[in-house]
Amino acid sequence: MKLKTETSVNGCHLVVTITTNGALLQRLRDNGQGEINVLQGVSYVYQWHAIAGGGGGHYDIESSVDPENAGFPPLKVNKDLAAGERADGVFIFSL
Amino acid sequence: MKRKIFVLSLLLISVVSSIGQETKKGKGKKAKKENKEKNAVSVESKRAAFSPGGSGGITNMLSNFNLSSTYSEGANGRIELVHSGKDYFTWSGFVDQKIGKNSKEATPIDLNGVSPGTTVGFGIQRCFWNPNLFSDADAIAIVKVKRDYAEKKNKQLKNKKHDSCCCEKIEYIDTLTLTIQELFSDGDDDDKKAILQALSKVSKRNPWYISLTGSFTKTSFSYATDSVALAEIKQSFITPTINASLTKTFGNPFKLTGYLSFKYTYSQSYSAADDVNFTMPFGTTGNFFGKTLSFGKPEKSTTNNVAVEYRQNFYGAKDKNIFAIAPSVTLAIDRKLLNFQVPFYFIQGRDDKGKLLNNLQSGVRLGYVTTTEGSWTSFKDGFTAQLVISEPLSALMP
Repeated sequence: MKLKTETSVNGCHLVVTITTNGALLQRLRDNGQGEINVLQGVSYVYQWHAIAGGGGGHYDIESSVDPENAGFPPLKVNKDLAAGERADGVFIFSL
Repeated sequence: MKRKIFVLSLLLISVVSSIGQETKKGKGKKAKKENKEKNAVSVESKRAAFSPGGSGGITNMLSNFNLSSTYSEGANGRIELVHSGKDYFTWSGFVDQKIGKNSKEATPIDLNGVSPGTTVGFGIQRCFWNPNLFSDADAIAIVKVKRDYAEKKNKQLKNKKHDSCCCEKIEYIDTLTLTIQELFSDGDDDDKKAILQALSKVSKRNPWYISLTGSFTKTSFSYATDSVALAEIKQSFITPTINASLTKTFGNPFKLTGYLSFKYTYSQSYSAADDVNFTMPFGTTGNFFGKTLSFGKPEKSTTNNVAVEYRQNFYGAKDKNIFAIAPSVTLAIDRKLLNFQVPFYFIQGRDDKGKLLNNLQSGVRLGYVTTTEGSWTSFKDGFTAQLVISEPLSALMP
């Protein structure tokens, strides 16, 4: 199965990573697109870190698994950040 | 969006090419030159164009793609394009014109090329930010806190829905999109403790920045060098400004709170001599006529400045910005001066509607300027204390 991810930012920096057992599978920065193979029965850690500039910012993350799988429902993160604000998100999934 | 980039690129290319054309033009094209002078801005605005701040930099250094225009009557008009790509590179291009007190619009470019008082610049910036990731164990701990929190909250929301008569839509907590900061602000003490413990293990959370900007400013002068004929000479100059800076930001787990910045500035400028009023007899009619002219050629000066600035914001309850300090030391190499400034900001700004802003914009500035040649200037002569009212102070805008 393929896990597709797309990121975009305005007024902030963003890094999105997907790891398994501590090994890095994908890292996307700011405005990026990526695709990795994901396997059933394996546990993955999905995390993102964002930091806004002096004027505040906005970031979007969209991820989905193809073909669809209940273990990873389509993810849509759209958040605003105030000036200098951080955001850290993390979850674990397995298909 | 691509069309906007294309249009602005054409605009910037035409600006650059018109600067090149300007430098090549000979003195023979008098008529054309006179036509240009008709568009010249007032003497005040010509002088304002020499302001070191006029060359600017990337105003919002973290923007993705942003084409914007700002205009302040009697101050300046600016068009700016800021774009950031995949690898934390940000580049910008801008056209900025200082305008006279009574001007209703800025005209940085017309059919004759770049107008006097206009600055055209480019900037590039690279962010270095590679925060350490949560380990699997930390991720498991955070996810557990998130699940417990979401379960508790969603139960409360469900009960609220049952108790409520209306059918308002209730948004349940989504554990996938919930950020740690959102969880922290609403969680109980145990949640907060677990979150802080996990966040404390994530290092390299504060980015570095390297910035480089270059710009050219066109200025025009009218002056006389002959006190008998008082023949008016009109001359334009194009002067460069280069800024390079290295900035390290600081912060807590929830926001950036300040930075340490090293900056080098190189610039050239011309300044006019003071205006002189001449009153002379008009032939043998017994009448007199007057003329105001700058007497003498504009004087060229070069600036080589090295500056270090530290900025720190302090926050109180509910993230209220309560105090900020921004000490800086600037070495003016050409002028042989050393300038120490210690501004303290503690007064909040208000917006146009009178609403209090969270940014501080007023306070007190203590300064001391000394010469670097021979003995230092006495404290009595070099010390200054001022009440400052400025643009809102940001933790992130060097």
